[in-house]
Amino acid sequence: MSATDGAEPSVSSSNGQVPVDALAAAGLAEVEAHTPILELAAIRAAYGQIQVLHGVSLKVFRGETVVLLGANGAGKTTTISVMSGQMTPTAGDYLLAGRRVNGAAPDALARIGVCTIPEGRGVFPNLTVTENLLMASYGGTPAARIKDQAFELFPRLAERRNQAAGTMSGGEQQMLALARGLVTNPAILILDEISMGLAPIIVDELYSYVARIARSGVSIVIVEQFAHRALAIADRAYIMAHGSVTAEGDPADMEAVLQASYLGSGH
Amino acid sequence: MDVKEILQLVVIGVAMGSAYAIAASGLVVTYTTSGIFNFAHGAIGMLSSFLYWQLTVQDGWPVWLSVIVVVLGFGPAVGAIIEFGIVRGLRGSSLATRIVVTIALMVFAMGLATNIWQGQSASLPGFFPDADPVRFLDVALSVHQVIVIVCALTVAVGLRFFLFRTRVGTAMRAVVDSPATASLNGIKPDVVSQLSWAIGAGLAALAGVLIGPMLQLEAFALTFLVINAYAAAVVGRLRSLPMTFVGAVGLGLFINLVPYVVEHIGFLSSALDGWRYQPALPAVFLFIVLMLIKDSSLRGARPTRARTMRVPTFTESVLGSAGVIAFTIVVAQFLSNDTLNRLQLGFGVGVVGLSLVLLTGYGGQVSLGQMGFAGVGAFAMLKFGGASGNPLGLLAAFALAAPVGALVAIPALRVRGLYLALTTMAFAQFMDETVFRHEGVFGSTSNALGRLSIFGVSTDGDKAYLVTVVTVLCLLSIGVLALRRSRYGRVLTGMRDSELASATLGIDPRAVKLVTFALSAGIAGVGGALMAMANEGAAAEQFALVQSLPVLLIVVVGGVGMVTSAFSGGLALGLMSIVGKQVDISNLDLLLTGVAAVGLSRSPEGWGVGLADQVTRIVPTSRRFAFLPGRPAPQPEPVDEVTPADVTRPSGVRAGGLV
Amino acid sequence: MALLEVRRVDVRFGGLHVLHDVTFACEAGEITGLIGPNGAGKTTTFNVISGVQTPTEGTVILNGEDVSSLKPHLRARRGIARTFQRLEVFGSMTARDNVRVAAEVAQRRRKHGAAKGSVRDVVNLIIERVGLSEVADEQSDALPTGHLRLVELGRALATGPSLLLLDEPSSGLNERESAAFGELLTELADEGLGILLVEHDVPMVMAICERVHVLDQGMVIASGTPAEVQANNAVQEAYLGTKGAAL
Repeated sequence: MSATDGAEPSVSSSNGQVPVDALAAAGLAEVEAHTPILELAAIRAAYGQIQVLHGVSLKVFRGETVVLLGANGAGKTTTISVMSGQMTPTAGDYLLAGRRVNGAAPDALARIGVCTIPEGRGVFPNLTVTENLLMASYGGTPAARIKDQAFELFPRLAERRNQAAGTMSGGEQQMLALARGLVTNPAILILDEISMGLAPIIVDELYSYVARIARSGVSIVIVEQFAHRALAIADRAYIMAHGSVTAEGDPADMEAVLQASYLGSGH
Repeated sequence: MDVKEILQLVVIGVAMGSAYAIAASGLVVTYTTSGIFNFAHGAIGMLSSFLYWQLTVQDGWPVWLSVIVVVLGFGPAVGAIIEFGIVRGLRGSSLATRIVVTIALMVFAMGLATNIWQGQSASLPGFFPDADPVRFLDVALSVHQVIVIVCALTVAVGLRFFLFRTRVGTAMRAVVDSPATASLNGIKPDVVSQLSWAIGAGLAALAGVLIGPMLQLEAFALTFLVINAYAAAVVGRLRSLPMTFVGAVGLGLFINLVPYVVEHIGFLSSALDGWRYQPALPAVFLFIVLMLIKDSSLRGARPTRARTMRVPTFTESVLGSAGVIAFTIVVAQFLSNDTLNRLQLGFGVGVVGLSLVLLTGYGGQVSLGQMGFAGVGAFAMLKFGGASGNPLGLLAAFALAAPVGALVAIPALRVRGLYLALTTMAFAQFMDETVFRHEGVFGSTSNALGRLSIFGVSTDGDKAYLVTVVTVLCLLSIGVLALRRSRYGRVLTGMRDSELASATLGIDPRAVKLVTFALSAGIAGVGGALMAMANEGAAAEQFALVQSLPVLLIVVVGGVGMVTSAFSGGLALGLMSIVGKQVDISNLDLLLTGVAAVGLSRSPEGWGVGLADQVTRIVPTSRRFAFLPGRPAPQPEPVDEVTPADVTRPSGVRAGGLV
Repeated sequence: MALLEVRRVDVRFGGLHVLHDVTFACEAGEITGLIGPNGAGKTTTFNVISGVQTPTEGTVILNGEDVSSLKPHLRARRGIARTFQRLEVFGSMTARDNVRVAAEVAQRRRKHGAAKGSVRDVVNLIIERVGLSEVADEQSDALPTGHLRLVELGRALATGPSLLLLDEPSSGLNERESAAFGELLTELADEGLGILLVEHDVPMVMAICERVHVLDQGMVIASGTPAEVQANNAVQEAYLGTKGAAL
């Protein structure tokens, strides 16, 4: 199975793409301020014959938190899949620090600092908390540092270190996913619907962590369907509908647009 | 009741179970990490046995060096090569293709071994053959048996340590949980998968070296010993290593203690008198385990690269058949009797292949034991057709094989496709070892079978009989196509596309599968009757388990969704038999079908479909070629393809990972 | 007597509590909305009603009969039809054959009451009604998502249901198609069909439903008319996240 299967979303891990290697050597975080650290330019993507993205363009600059909003089926998760390398775009350019990386495998992107926390938590349910964290060492982070850092940041995880991840609550699982992403010291952190199915109080807690990560200088892409929390910590927001970006701007301006599209104008 | 004797049997059972445990744990490791059930697992063990024998006995290498070369070199290398060359090409392919490709490897390995080590029926000495037996609990154990038990314990502890205490092992469990998430963590699922195949095949090689001395060195028997490993692995639901070990030891005890029990219970021993039931005990064990598994979830639509064939109309199928029959009549005039006879057999097998077009091509279920049903059909023909060639015998063949098919399917249909495939294999082994070899079945003398006599017209001559076989194949094909176009055919297709949706429309999935399986077994029964008449007598060898496998392969290679594959398959088997006799290569059919079917990992829908595509390309929209498949419909790949057993389970929660 | 009653249903997957004491009802001739954020348990609720998922506790009652222990195909035969959020179209068949399979299975069940050839009429009628006439004879896995949703709807209708469960039927439809779809649902309900609608397009739900139940984290947090639900603070929070004043 090659990564160049065109239309088919590929989970291949064939890598060795020159741009990815070069990026690894240069360090993704070293990008100059005026070049976007991540850019999608007119990206198209399809599942089989069904076109899902019709030319999505967006930019993320270094240290910026960008939120991507839209109703179910708007194409947000597909956009994330392109960013994480799980799906190869059929047209357009995916640029990291100005270099085209179309077709790079997810594991290759993960190793150069693109950390994706997929929808539905992205933990290994049958592995213990500690083992889940150690999986981050495949990104190149030393194992010893991982545990110290994660348990310091999330004391709750330290209490449950030998518990199978699948037996924890949804919020704890999400916390674990976040911790695992963080300890790899990513240049870009991509979060897909981390609040899904969680109680508001837990979501608040999670977002306080995300805000801290943002302050530490990591570039963050957040995808959310219901999104006051995300807007509150974002620098910029994009709204998607029917596979394209329909609006871009200041988070404060987006609230009105959103309420209309989600709940109807009931007020 | 002799306590000492029982103890002795228990200890031997544990030793045997230990060897099965090593093999079965390798099977589980590869299956969970790659999603491919390696039917060739036993074949790797068999080749390892032979290679070890070659090195030590023939070439005089020291034992320790041979063990290292076979277990740490040959086995893992074979596993890694299979993963790289074949398994990676199988992503997103249908269950049938996944099963068929490793079956092909198995068949090829058997063909290879019988040619390299032809006729060298040898026995392999165990480790330290001259050492005194060890005494334990008043029971004598050979040093070899002790080594086997120690090896199993080492493997159990070693795997546990590897999977839970090492980084790579943990990554392997991570890939089992979710390959997509693993790759997002920077893990390369392909590398992990390759490693798991190397480990799995290494364990198969170890099992081969250990089991070889406990039995005769014989390619088929050693290969099919893998059924024991399947049975043990199924106890662990193909996932759990501890349960697999429990299953293996349980099987070892079962095999050793059941004969003792039978011997000591009067009515059982008289009832089983004359039946070679012992070789079938693993199959019985597998059946019992399957009866205990409960899994009622429904399979949802899973995108595969499956293609849709346009179904020929009634007129097209009748005209096509008329053409084939006319062509056969003409060609038959120019062929020798030996050639005619080989073609008769080939097309007889083609009818068995047709039963798979219905079951596998239309229904999406895989059977590895169609020859078991064919043998039932041959038996019916023998009893009802007899020497007179009464055509009612063919009806009887259908009528007897069909309920047997339903009976076999009942336990397996409670679970899923792969289990059905395993069950049918176990069934075929049971029929092969126990039933067909019983005196009263195909007997020794009273086995004269006349060829069909239709309204007083005998088809005794070789030309006439070839035409008869081809005609029956055509008629059955017309029938199968008519079924496919009927309401039942649409229900069947719907079931193949999505069991879940079918059930919510009011279709009872199990009833449909059961009927399909029975019909398919019935057709195979007719095929068996035709095969027996070609030889003018039925013999157990014709319907051996190993004969079932090339049938499946050749039909899948020809495109299992098209009835034409039954014709091309029958013809190919006939031709291979003719050529094989000329060039004096034994089991040429095994070698060639093995190679051809391995190629399926590159062309998963069968070569026939590829050929049809070429023709369609040359003659694009001609109505005359409307019976060829339409344009391909590209499909997204399944996102999570590693755990075929849990498509409908809630995401994120899975019952037990690889433990 | 309500057409469908879901009583105190609990679903747990291992440590996850997916549905918690879910109770609600649907009436014949009405469209009932079931809304809630992603992951609230809506599809699981559908699975429980249609028999695909066995609940840990609780009962499902259809027309006064407890169907909790019945398998999916038996519930279908008692009048429950459904569509799927993650499409389950028979991809290798044409759109028409998808509908036809359902119609044939239903007709066979009703035995010989219907005249010969009536299946074709039923199929044609449904194809036309759901708006698939132009693509009816194309192989369905080549059709866009919007059409596939209609194929599933048509197939469900062909079983002659009394209760129709629709899981996100409008995703993949454009605005115009959505509006037409809403009208069709209203018509069907007017003819006596009970519809339970899971839908992310909340404005559409508000426009066509008689009653709406809101699920959040596996619990029914609000029930009422669209206007009542829309004004409910808990609903606002569930959808947009906790937020101080505003809104």
